[in-house]
Amino acid sequence: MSMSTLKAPVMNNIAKRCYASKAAATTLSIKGPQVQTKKLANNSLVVAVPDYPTKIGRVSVTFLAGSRYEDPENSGISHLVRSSAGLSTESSSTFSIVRNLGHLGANYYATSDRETVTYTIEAHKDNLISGLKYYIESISNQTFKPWELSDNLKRVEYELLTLSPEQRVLDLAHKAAYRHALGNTVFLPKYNIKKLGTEHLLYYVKKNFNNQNAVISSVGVDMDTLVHVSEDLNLPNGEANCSPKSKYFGGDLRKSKPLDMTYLAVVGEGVSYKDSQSASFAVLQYLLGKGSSVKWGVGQGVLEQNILKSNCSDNFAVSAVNYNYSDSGLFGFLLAYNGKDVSTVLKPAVQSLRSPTVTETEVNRAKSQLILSLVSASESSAGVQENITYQAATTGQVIPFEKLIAAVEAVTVEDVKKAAGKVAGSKLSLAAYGNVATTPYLDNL
Amino acid sequence: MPIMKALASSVAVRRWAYNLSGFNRYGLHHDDVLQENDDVKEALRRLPAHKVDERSFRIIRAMQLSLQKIELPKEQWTKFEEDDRYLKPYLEAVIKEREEKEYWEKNYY
Repeated sequence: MSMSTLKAPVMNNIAKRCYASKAAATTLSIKGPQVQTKKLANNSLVVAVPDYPTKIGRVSVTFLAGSRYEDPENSGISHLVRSSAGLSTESSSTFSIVRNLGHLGANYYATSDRETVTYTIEAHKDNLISGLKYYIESISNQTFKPWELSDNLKRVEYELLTLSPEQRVLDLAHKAAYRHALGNTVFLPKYNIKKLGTEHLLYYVKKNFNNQNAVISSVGVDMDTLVHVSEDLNLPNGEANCSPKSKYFGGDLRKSKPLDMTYLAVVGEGVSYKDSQSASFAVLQYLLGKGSSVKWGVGQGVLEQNILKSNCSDNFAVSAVNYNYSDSGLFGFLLAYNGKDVSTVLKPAVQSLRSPTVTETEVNRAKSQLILSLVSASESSAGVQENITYQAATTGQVIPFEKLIAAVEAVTVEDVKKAAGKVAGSKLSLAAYGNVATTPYLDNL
Repeated sequence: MPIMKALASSVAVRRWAYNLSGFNRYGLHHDDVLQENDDVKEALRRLPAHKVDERSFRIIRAMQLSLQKIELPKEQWTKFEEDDRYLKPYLEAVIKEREEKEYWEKNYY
């Protein structure tokens, strides 16, 4: 059983370096797996990819209960809910859940992000059904016994200490950009570690873990099994979660820490996942660059090239970031720097965010890199599972893989320019973490 | 031994045995005088803080009384009906968990 923060999608954009080789420029004949979607009578949404060629079955239960649904009083509680997955329930002890799942060779983990809390089990198809019993029990009958929570605190503290500065700075950027809702931190704040207890957790779970907020998804498992899972979960029929619509504000936040490096995130307003422009934004992200495609090489992205042109002699790393949520999005870049004056790299980077050079060749390069990353994600059943779960949870539907690729291929230079214009037109947000002494303020950019 | 069983389940007999055991004269409860083995220690760890404080108070008071070779005034003795067995649910859970572990270790290793 592993519950790692690295599973949070926040990391994916930074952690994955894509080693793109030359992708074929001609239209790719890519066929994605067949996705079945169904709204059950109890209002849960069920998404299945039964025919994926895999020996491993994966089932996820996702609730719209991420950090955006938290109140200021219980800030960070979704982190604690995630971290408490697998604790004793009304009828099984932690010991029996862990040992029985382990005995079946199953993997059980919980992930959470700004929108969702997800419980996933993966096991060989022969063993999955027997494992589901413990899995379902540990989702729907959680009791959060006080002594188990306090035993768990050390691990939560450890988890918080191992967060990377990149994660921290992106969290700050969200806070600066949205203030509330999507701006809520995904990490448990220190002042709440001891404060949030059994009652808080039970209340939060009771409020959010209901049929209206549930999405059940699977790869390599058929629809009927998922319907049974939904029945066995026996969730209450609560009300659908409604967080206030996220409004983009923009702002400036910085946190000084004794580090040698400066970590900066500069973002403007992006688009939501279902927005028609989301494909253009994804292409724009690759156009600006997500690091090097060749090991030890220099990134071809506009951002990196532009900074290099300014003759910066210090070490830096830069990557474009693009977040799509259910009703809003962020677009910008993440920059790490260990020289004296951060403005020498920040200025050219901001300049290329505001007015990137968008040429036909650059757009084509970005498109083939994006398609490669989409295709390679669809090669693994874990990638497919993550993708359909996220789509279903944020938009209520799953776009077929072919359509995704087609949407990317249809992006023109004009579309990318329009997307870049939209980011440039919004008020930027700046977040800094680490050695922030020389970081310019937003009004000096 | 049906007679012994009938005796043990009779409230009157149990009350008589309770008063005979004597710890109630010091104001202690039944669960204050358990042997502190690992199960009891674990159950005490799970007990809410205010209950642990009450328990500690009773034990300290009893030790003081014992030291002075006196008892509480009779109206302050713990009555059989008022003894709440506060540790019982926790202790039962702890024992169940331990037995579950032992069962696993016997059958799967």
